[in-house]
Amino acid sequence: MQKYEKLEKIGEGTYGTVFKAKNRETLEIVALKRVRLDDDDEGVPSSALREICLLKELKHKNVVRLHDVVHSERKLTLVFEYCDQDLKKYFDACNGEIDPDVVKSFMCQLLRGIAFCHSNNVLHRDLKPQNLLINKNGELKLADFGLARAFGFPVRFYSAEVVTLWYRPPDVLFGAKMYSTSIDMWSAGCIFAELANAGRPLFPGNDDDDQLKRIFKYPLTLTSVSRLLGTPTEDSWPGLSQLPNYRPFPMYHVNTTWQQVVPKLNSKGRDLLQKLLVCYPPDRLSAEDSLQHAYFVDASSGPK
Amino acid sequence: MVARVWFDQLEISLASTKYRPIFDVILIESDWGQVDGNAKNTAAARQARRAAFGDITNATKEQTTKDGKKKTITGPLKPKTKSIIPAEQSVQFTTKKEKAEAKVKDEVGRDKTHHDPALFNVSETVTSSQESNASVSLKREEEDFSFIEGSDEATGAAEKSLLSFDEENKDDVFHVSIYAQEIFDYYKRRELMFRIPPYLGTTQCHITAYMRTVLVDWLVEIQENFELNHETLYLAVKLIDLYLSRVDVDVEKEILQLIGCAAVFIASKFDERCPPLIEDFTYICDNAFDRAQFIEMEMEVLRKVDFDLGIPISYRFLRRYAKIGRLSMETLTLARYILELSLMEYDLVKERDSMIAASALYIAMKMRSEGAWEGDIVKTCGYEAKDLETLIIRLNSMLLDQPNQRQQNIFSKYSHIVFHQVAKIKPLLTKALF
Repeated sequence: MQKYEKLEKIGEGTYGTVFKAKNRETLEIVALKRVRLDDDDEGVPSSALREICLLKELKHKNVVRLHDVVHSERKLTLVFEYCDQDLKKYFDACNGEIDPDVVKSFMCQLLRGIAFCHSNNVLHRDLKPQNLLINKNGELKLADFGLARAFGFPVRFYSAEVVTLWYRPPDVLFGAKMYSTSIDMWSAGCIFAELANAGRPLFPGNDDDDQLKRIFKYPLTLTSVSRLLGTPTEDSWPGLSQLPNYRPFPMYHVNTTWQQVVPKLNSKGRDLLQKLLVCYPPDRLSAEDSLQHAYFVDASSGPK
Repeated sequence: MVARVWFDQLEISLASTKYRPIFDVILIESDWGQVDGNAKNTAAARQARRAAFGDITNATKEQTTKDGKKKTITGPLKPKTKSIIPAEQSVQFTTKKEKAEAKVKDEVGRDKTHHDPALFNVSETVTSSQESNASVSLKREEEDFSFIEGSDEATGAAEKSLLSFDEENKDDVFHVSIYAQEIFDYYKRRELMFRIPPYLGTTQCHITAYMRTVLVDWLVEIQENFELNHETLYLAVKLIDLYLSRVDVDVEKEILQLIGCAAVFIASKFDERCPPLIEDFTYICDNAFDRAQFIEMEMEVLRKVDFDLGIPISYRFLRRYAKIGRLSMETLTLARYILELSLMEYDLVKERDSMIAASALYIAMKMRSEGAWEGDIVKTCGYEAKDLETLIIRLNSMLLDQPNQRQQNIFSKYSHIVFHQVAKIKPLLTKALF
């Protein structure tokens, strides 16, 4: 690791510590993620293994670039492109205001990154502001693929212990182990609302129950059959009661409108948001379709 | 040497292996079972744990999840042996290999929709200028985004029209229909990056095709006993071949077993929810290797395959093709049997996985007189029957040759009723295939 001069610690990933560092030859600033390898452990952690091999495949401007992997005696170091901050820090610094064009730009980039992952057979499974990096050119990049995995056709049972609580879709909260690309789309919806509200999280639940309650109190679209019902039922969500951790929730009286939830978002944006935050997974809009939504129509919106 | 004994034992056990089936693996593997609501059967079957290796199987996945933790490692830790890996090695991605990949991409780019099988066999067709390298790699990175920009690419419209199976299953989120064909087209381009050159007798002089067969046969047993996905088995075999073709030392046959275990271990970490523990592997190797050697070999294999684990494997192609062709479970299972036998054949490692899969399915369809090689199947795989002819003949001669002694394991596995006894179906004479 003589090649890099360590500058400062910048955080903790799913596994291992992240440092800011400088390439001594090129003077390029990079981020180093270090994974300790202990003899007592089971070799290379599978989260690190997956992050490396998935990111090697995913080369896109909205996905953080993995430059290099360095193996030394008892550690593995992943060398990433450096970004100045993540979306969480961006929120903290924005003083409660984000320009609508910036919201649109970030959302568009987020969806492009997701669409790229999905069309390359990868589920991220931990989308949240902390895992979205922003560089000084305003480019947004998906990062931390420690929980990501490649999916098969059809998908099989995967772990239900994925996605940080606030961004976790209701199907996974009910213990669903069969899921696919729609898992990331719920998170994208939550992040969209958070962007529109300049960093106020949409569903900041305390535990699984509280999380579901908060979700069901919102005017979510369930299916085309029963719109604007808070709590899903077997009618609006076929198979709901068969989910491993299903338990009935009361029918909450919904007295908020989307306009109240995201007051600064225009009507097209609200429409897109509603189509992402759909409880029944098959009805959740895909990243590819989201990008064709009217919200993104004005050409200036998308970053180059 | 214990490892030596392994080979001798295996040679004996090949003749006398008693096959005990694991029903759960089969049920989980079944696409149809999964989608038409057999989940309960699956869960119940999972409880029926097989213990062919005594106690060493990792607990079933279900149990592991419930317990919340895996069993702890109790094996004594031997001191680390002299490292065979240099203290610090960097895996640079902008190396010769990446350039070669760019060339491959170029090759693919020019031949995006239809693959000329001859292209694959001629190893020196890859030549291209710097400019086209650059443009192609750019295209590769951004190509999937044409839909956003409203690209006027001529192929755009054609690619967007879904195959009839995908169209019908558009609302089934578990089939990921909107991305399926796109992903399989990507796999087909990507498989060219993992071509395996002949390595026996060139880079590897101690290992023979027979030893490789014995190793694969043993991995089939591990896959069943550890209740691993078939994808894990196929990926492990791929990792072994890639490693042996890339490593610059002449591998001793005693090490082959360690390489095999490390490959299964890595493949499990890539795809399984609960990969087996190192302890499980040292046990089945009768402690011929210790933890440290095992961890070292894992890293060694990872470095040689450059941490590239997203390797398109024939098994995935097969499932896709069978689904698009709406073929019966029996025909798919027969094709899986043929495909699994093909893993044991060294002379097939150089072939494209998509082609082997298509050829295995072609033979299975003929043997069961089901469907025809036309329409959506040809559209999804991109191979006409004539493109596959050589491979079909090769695979069929393998079938006509069986059951020979070294294929006993796979033969008895697929002779079982849960596999529809497909191994007992009489192969056709080659001339009856066309």
